[in-house]
Amino acid sequence: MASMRPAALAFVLLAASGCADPDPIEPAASVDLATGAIHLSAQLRSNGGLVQVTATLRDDDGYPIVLSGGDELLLSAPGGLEARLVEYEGAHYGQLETGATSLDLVLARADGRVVSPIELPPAFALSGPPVPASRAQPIPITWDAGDSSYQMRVEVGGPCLPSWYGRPFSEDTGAYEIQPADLGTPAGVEDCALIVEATRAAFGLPLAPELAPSSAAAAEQVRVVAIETVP
Amino acid sequence: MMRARSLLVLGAAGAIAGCELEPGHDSGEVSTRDLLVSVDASDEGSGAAVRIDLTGPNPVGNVRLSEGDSLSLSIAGVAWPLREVETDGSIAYEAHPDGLVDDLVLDLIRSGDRSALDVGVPVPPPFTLTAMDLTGDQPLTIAWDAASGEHALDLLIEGDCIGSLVRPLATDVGAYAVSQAELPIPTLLPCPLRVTLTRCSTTQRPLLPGIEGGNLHAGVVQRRAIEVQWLP
Repeated sequence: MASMRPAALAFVLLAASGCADPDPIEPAASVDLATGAIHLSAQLRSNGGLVQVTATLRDDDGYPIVLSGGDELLLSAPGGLEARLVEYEGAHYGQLETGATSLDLVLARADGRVVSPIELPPAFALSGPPVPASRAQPIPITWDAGDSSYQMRVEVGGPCLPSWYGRPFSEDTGAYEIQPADLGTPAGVEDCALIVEATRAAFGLPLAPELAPSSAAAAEQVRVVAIETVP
Repeated sequence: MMRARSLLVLGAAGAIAGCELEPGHDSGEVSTRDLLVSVDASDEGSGAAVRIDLTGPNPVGNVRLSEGDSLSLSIAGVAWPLREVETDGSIAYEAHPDGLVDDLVLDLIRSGDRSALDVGVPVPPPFTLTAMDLTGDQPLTIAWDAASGEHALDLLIEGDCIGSLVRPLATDVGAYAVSQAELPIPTLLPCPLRVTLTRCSTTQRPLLPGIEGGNLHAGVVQRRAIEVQWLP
């Protein structure tokens, strides 16, 4: 050891000190940031009776922000309904029991409330055949047709399908037929429920202008129906 | 042991010569148990093509049938002559049958090694494709001869006015419909569309049943295309 050259010794010391693990970056505290330096992104999802929201806060460099100094995020709906979002592993979650489509995402700060009104896509009802449908024939599903400025998508899955498949639509006509060729049901399956999930979505919704310009929200109306099927 | 030794000699000879080995090495210097037979076949409904490549292990690579060795192809009992072709310095064997109406059967006859006879290559069933024009709010409907079996099925819809839509189908039931809302919004109507349905089977197994070494890799495609119009 006494004969070890300085360069080799330095290498050993570096390795022993665990230099490969840099110190984790300390998240910024919201209380230290101006509102205009807070980048808020949010996803809202409604099933017609419940609205759930996921929000993240980041600074100008893209690092997470921790709410502090009494700052908080709230989701509010008409009629005085309001829920405080809770933080879990860097994201903020909340939900409200409401069928409303006009909601506010609020960043409450000591110097006032920064309110971002968010309009969910139009609500719709989704339905399939009222009696068990044959998987050997197209299975119609319908919903309330909508404005094609929203993105409409249907996903089909279920315990007897090997995987889910999705169909995006260029126009929201309110109708789709599940094709037998899309159902890879294994041989021998008898009764089986297909799960159909329809989503009407809007992306890039602007948030309060006081926030950083990149702030935006996505909003979805989601409906799910189970369709009983037979071979 | 003999195989390993001969390959070692080949590699050493190449290294000593200071040059890369030429493609299309003589099959007489490659054991059947070191051979990979690759079959690429397609039937477009208006004629078929079969290409067979023979490959030895490194550093041999591409293999040319030498004197005394032969390869033959038959389909439903009809023999189709294989022609040696050279593409980009690589030797292959090609045939152009009228159609892939049944499984391919290969016979690789070796004068100085084990022959591989009656090597079957599964072919997905041929079919006829029909489709209806899109008018009003009617969907694009297509129909073909349904078939069971271990093949993949893919639908491609393409046109200058919509780009392309690729859709793997889970089950080969012989009918499918695509609503207009599932297609990209056309830039102009009427819009000619090309609908292509592809059945594809792949095979990977030993060339000689029950004998280790020597492999068969095959990809066989039945493809049919049809033109339809998307009308206002």
